[in-house]
Amino acid sequence: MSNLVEITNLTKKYEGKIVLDNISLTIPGGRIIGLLGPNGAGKTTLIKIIAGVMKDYKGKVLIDNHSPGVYTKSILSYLPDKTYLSPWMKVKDTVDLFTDFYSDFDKNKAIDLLKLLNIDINQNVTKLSKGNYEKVQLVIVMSRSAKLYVLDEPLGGVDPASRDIIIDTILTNYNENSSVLLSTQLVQDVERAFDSVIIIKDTKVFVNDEVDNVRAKFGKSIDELCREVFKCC
Amino acid sequence: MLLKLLKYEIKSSYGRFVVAFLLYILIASVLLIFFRNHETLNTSVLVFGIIALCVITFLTIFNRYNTNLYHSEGYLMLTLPVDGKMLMTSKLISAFIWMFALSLIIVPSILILIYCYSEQSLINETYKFIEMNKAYTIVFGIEYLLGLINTVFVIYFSISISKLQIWRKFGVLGGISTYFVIELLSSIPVLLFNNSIGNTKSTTNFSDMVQQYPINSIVFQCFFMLFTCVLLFLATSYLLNNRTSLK
Repeated sequence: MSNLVEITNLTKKYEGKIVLDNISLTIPGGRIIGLLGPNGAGKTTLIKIIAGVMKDYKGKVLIDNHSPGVYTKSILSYLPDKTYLSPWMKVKDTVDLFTDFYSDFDKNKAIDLLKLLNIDINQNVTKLSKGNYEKVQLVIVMSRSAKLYVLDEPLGGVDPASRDIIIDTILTNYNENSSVLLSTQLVQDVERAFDSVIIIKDTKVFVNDEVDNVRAKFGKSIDELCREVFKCC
Repeated sequence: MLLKLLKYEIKSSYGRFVVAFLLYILIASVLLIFFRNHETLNTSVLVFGIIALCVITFLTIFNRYNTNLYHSEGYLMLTLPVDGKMLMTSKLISAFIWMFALSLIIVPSILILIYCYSEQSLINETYKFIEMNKAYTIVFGIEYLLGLINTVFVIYFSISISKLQIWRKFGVLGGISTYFVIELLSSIPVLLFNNSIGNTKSTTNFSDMVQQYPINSIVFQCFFMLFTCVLLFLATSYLLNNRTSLK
């Protein structure tokens, strides 16, 4: 299968400091990839560049053979690590907005998932708890039939009981021909879902391999590897 | 896509505008119906209200551009599959809609104030001037509109410039400097075409205004502003498409 994402010699500086240093990697289609690394390693920066909300970088980034732009935004479903819905919106407005702008958005699927998660679609987004807000964002992102899902810390503010629901939401709702790039610090909760992992350490790619190969090479689970090598995953 | 963007743009801001406009209309109506003889009170309240409406309108328009594109909402807006030009156009159209709505309130308010509390001769003189100088009045109106549009363009561009990473922690300073540099450059045609910098459009002496602010100067100014608007539109769209990095 051809590569969905091709990154060549990517370097990004932020306020004079190198955040990503000459990174090259590829992401094929039909995979769930964990993007791991300690805080400040550059995971979110890499995700922002792929999502097209961060420019001014050196190197080449191609998503489905296109530079980040209007086309790549139409095939990429991005969940940022922050709340990004407009404060005037009700949950149903966010569903309507995605219906209006993304031809691959499944409105019925989104409404069903919101019902499953006991979220009132008539509620204003500012009235939602942090956990429910993140669930709403995840539901609308996962209700698209995108080629690439890029999820930055989808489990961040969610209680342990809801994490399984969210992981299941991700696993059961993504298109099998698509890829999911998932950044998280809660490796143990989601390790079972990964096909491969990209570990970033000190602005460089430390590991980029199949999960089984990484386990065999280091003799540890991915979670143990992160805890022992980085002491902060 | 443009209509869809415009729909969400209007939805996001109509509440504040409708409340402010209706409140002003209510207060003005009560004062002019029940307290019409209190000239000082009515004039003060209405003028203060007009200033407040202008401040609310312009602050909302510019704050909307800033927060919607460059704060957390930017993660939603800048990941929509639309071009920067389209985003800019939707913001501009909604800004013009609100400015037009504002003018629908301000102009009648001023006319009512003049009708109620000024000498009748002023209204007659204005009417006569418009009748005699239709072309001048139209060109003057166009220049005024372009001036408003130009101001919106300059501030949108300055906001976008202030978000560039080159400024590091001095983005606000960079934005303000950009605004003043553009305003300074924009004043060059006025300086070239008029001998006196002190020319003012607000004078009530119409003959002096026509003399000091001739029609060919206004026409040139219109073309210059049109050129500036196109340039700023393209530059701001370029920044949105190619130089935006959300924090």
